[in-house]
Amino acid sequence: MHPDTSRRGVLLIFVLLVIMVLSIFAFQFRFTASQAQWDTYRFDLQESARQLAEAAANEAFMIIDREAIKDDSAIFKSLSVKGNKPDGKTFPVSLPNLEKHMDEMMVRPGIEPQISAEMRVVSCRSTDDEGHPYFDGGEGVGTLEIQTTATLKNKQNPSRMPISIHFVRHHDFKVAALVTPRDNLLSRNRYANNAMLDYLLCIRNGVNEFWNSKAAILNSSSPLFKPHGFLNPWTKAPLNPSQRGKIFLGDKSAVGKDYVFLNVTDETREILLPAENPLAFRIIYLDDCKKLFPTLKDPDYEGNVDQVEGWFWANNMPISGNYLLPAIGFTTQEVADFQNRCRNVVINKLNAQLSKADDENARSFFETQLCFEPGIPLVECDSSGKFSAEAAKSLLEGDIRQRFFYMCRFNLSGDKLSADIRQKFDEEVKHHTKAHLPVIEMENPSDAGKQEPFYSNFPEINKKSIDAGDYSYSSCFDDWYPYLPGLTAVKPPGRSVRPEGLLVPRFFAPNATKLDTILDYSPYAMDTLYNGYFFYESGKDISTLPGLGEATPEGSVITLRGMTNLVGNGPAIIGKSGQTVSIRGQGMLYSADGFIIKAKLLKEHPEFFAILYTNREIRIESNEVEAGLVALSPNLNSRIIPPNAPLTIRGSLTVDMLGSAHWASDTTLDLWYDPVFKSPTSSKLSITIQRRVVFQKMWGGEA
Amino acid sequence: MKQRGTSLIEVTVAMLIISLLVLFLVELNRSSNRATMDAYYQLLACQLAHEPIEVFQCIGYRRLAAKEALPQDISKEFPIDTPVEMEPRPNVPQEIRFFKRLIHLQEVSEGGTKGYLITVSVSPSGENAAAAWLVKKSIEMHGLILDQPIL
Repeated sequence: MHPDTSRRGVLLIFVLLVIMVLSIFAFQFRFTASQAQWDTYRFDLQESARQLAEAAANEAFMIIDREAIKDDSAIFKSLSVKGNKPDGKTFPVSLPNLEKHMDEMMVRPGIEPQISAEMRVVSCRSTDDEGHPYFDGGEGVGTLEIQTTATLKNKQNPSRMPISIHFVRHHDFKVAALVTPRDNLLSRNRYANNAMLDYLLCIRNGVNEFWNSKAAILNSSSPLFKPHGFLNPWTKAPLNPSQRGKIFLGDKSAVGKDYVFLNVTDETREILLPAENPLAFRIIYLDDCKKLFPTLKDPDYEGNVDQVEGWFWANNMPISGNYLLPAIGFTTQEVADFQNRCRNVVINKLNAQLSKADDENARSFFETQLCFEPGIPLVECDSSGKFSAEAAKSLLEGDIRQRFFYMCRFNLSGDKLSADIRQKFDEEVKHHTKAHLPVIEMENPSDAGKQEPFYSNFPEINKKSIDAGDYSYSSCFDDWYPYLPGLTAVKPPGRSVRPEGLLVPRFFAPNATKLDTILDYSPYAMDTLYNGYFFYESGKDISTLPGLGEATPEGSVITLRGMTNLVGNGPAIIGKSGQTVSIRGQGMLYSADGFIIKAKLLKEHPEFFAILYTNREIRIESNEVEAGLVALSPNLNSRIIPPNAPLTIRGSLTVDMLGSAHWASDTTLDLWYDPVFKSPTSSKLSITIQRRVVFQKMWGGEA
Repeated sequence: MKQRGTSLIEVTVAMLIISLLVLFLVELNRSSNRATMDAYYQLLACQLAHEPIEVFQCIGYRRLAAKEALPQDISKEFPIDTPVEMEPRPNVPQEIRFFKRLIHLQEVSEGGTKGYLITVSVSPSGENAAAAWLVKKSIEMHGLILDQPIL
């Protein structure tokens, strides 16, 4: 082989090798460049998908949070805790805002975005951390999961793998029953933290206050407060019985008297309150009679009586059997009816007696002067103006008794008195009265002849048994007649048949003993159901707290949802003097150190409500509050302090004590019940989803 | 047999083939280089576009809706509707100085939820390397700022 010949191909091979190496490098570079482009492409798509998935999680949270207010939504129902194990159901969540703007958010053309979101409860429990069960209507705590998926497909090149990002978030949620079912005609039989909202007026230690105040707490001729139980506070339309707030005076301090009376006037209060022994008799004298007939205000009444009596005496015309029933009715209408009936009887009786003498002056005197104290209707009549047993049951709770059944007989002549009674008269009545008249004689059941004329007009009274004994100058209170059918624990002495009718004393079922127990638990047992805590500075207006309040040109708005704990040093102040603070939403504010309501507190919507709950005092400096006020403490001395001016509360009032004896001189209180607090059949649940994310995870890539 | 040398035609054809191959490789290299630089600047532009989206997501819908005054350094670095030329920063590729950025916020509402659609445009700030290498003359990214939970 020639040497030249052997070298000829080397150059070519070398060139080819160089070209091959260059090609490898070039293609490798090309591959790297393509990879860089693809990585950039994927980065863009993944970032877009992540933006979509995260925005979807944000919007899903908002949608769920909003749907959780609606008690008919599937999400609301799924979050109502039914036990300690979630049902595992998932719910799709719509994302209207994101779906509308999804295409705009795409970085690359030809990309088709798809987004989905769903929610499920991953854990829940219906007991607190000490194992105490919450109200079984759905209260509890849990954790919900929001899972979103964003997928980006390349429409122009379907062979390219789509990019898919999955996003998972967990939020804790709490379900608190702000209002729980209560049938006004039945007692509560299970725990509920909000039992106090059943009541228009609930005074936890009211029995004690009633007796200490000699009944002034409920009875006064110029009432310091007036509850309106039958009417809607805004429309003044009649409230359905199931919507009414009840009145309850509790016996928390166990004073030994577990009953109170309504409708006793200032003038009659002292003599009409029953003695310690319900069977004790009480002697009534002329002064007492004048208290029983306080409208006989003629200063010369005694003189007139003397004249009449003198006339009878002068004519030797004894008139016996004029019976009066001093009575104060439960309602104005009832009193009026009763007045008329009694008055007619008296006048008729008197006419019958006077007909013999034909003394027009005497007849005229009695016709014009004999009328009855109308009493004080603690609650107004229902829409029909009548009082009914059902209406009473829908309004009153506990052993609240209507005064009266107070019977006595007035005998103006006394000439038929037996010798021993006359002796009593001389010894007792004459000694105690100025006019020596009238003799006040107790009905003697054994004297059938005396009873008949009167009882024929009041057949229901005929059933009444009074053991007067020898003391014919006395009268007795009989408070042993149960009002409600079925309360057979006590019966009229000597009688087995309970009287019925207008004049029968009214008793209201002492069925609220559990309430005291319930109130002992609140609100402490609900700590874990607080949806949040707001820290406030003493002396500052909480209605401007970010997240709770919001200042508007017209005033402030407090937005409520569920139960919120206000944490601060000193009472929480609401609004400023002369301002109006609006309530938006439904919820309870708890402040351990009390509240000072400086502004008018008004609801924005009939369905909204606020409950202000404290263990101290609620001082009100405005004249209008639309809220449920609850002031309860272990010391039994929490109360409201109204302004020295008329105050209207539309909501409810639950306090340890009313303390009306300490109210300022110009204070009056109109108390109306907000029917939004009453739910006969179902709970009003408030679901609060914590905004804080307790767990978050994201994964994905090429799907 | 007398051996002949390589003819001119053969050499010419060989050189032509080799030249074409080299030209192809050169073009391949050039396009790869361009693609790499395009990807690099595009990635840089995307990161510059993502930055304000993340910042405004953290600021949150509530503060934006309340028209609260943003901290001065944020409002200076991320002004709204004002193009800003990027300045070199530590630990960030210096090439960001080749870009300018424009942030736009648009209030959106649908289905009862409100938010802000944020659009960030990043483009070369003039005739510079980024302008030379980028195929797309502007990178635009979007985000939806809704009321979000507390992270």
